[in-house]
Amino acid sequence: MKLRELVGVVATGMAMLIVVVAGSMPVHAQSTSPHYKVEESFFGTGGELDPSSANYKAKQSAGELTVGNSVSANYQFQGGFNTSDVPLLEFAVNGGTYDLGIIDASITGSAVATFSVRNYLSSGYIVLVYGATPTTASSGSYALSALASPTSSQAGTEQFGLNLVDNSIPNIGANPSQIPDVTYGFGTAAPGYDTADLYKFVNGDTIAFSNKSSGQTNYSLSMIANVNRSTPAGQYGGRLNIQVVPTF
Amino acid sequence: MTKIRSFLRRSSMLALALTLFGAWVVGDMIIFTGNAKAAQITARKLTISSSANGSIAVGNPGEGGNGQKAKYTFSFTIPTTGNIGSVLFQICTTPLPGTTCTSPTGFTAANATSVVTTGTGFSSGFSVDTSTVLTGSPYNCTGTSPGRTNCIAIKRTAASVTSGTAVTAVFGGGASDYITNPTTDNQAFFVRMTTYSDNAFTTTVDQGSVANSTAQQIDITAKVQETLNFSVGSTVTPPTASCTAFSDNGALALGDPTEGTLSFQQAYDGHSYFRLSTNANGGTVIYYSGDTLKSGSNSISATGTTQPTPNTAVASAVGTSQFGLAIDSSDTQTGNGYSFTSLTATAPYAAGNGTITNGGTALFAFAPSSVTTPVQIASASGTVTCDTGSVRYLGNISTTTPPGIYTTSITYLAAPTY
Repeated sequence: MKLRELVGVVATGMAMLIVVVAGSMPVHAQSTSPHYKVEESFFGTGGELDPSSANYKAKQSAGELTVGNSVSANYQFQGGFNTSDVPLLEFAVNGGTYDLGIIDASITGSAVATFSVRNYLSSGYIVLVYGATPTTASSGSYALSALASPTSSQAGTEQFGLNLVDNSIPNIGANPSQIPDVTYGFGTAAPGYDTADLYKFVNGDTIAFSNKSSGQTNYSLSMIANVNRSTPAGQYGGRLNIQVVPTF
Repeated sequence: MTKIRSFLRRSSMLALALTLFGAWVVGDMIIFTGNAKAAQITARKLTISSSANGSIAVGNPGEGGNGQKAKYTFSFTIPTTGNIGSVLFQICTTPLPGTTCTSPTGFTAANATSVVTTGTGFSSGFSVDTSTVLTGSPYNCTGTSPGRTNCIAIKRTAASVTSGTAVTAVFGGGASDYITNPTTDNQAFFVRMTTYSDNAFTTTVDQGSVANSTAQQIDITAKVQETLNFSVGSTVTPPTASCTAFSDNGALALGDPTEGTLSFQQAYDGHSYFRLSTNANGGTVIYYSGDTLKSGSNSISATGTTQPTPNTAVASAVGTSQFGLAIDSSDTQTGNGYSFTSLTATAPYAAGNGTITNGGTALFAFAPSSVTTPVQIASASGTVTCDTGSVRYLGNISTTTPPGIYTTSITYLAAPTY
């Protein structure tokens, strides 16, 4: 066998090898259907997902076709220069002590806490609230009545409730805000906690959600309390535990 | 002949190329079979009983305020039909299986001692494995051997589960069987879940990661000030929604409506009212204080036995000098008068309803000693939204009662306990 023929044989074998090896490279799943999932694919006129050298790492693309999240009942798609195959959860509650003030039968007590959620490569998330209504230990234990269904704030009627929207009675709170805008963030207040001036509190309720992977959503948690003439005097205290449950 | 040689030469070249190709294919299969890609566990999530960080132990284990003794509920759907003999849950700060796992600060699953599973084919047989050493590769669980600080391992005799089956696995939430959250606030963490077809954590079937996070707690405070609204009058007015106080001067005339005189032939009565609203949770006592009817040095006798501090009320005795009082529960005044809801009348002043004819059903008493020591007439054990009391006064005179203008002032006091 001549050298040229031998080189040809080896080249042919190597070409086949490359095809086979390339076809066998383990990769992360790249999109999804009931039977299949792909998490990162490239559609465009050029680019590279993760080029790197000893000193740098980059993501490149040219002719970007689409950016952002798209979702239907059966699939979800993240488009853009900087998609990632790493799931992400960021959940920040600005906790601490929130004082509803001095309350009597003519004055509504209120306070606003905030929290934010960012959840990438999930099928969405829910935010739950756990806890009890403010309770006083003076003269025995007594807890303010919780609003079991969405109800307006009424001074003189014992109430404790919350919602996640912009209210006028009292003038507190803000609607969920998407960061940087509504094309990236999709979190929203849950039914029962999504109507201005109507408040509710049920331990374990879902108060916010996103049906798909979402950029950052900032939430305002508006809390109100009212007392009647026979609500026992005292210093009231309570603790709310906010939880997020993403589904992947 | 040359064509035959050339054909043979080309055939041998092709054979060699195919041999090389075949060798690589076999090698490739060997290389990648061991790295077979596990299917991804679907519809997976982790619900924790508390997002409080692991240093907080407010409330009972498994409740919202207790991050030190939390309950973890894993819910997911099995993607591959086949045996499952063991499952490993590895808690890390990053999600991707196969990458370095750093345990979240303060997290420990070392106290998770039992598991409850649900789902067809998945619900039975599992127990927490505390013996299989998982500290080495490929698990790299943390903690002293067998490595259960950031890993929860469960196993059973392998049994088949059908693809698409929704299952759950629940850990902790008890006083001695619990999982401790990361001790940092707002700390996201991931749980890498791996199912194995055997019960030795050897042959991977499926994988998937879930996430959750600790969070700061929202502490709420409020102050409700002590209130007491107490008023007295002799003219009833509606309480309204705000429990409107009485505002008249409280003057009351006992006797004939026209002449304003008492008679030894007929008993006379009159009513005054008090209204109370208070948020005193420790109860409220209402007292009266005053003297009997007097005109100079003459007086109408206080009724009830035994004087000067009677504990038994008596009926009206026409023609006998009597002055007494009692709560009249029949004097409702269509909703504006007597309306005890929280208050109760105190004996011997609780039976002012009824007749005041001679030997009538209404019973009265009066303690002149109340001038110096107020006497309880009603009380409540807790808060009072808006109660109105009707006090009925009885006046009788004898044939020897000296004429004159008899007067007295009765003071009512409310003493709340907060």
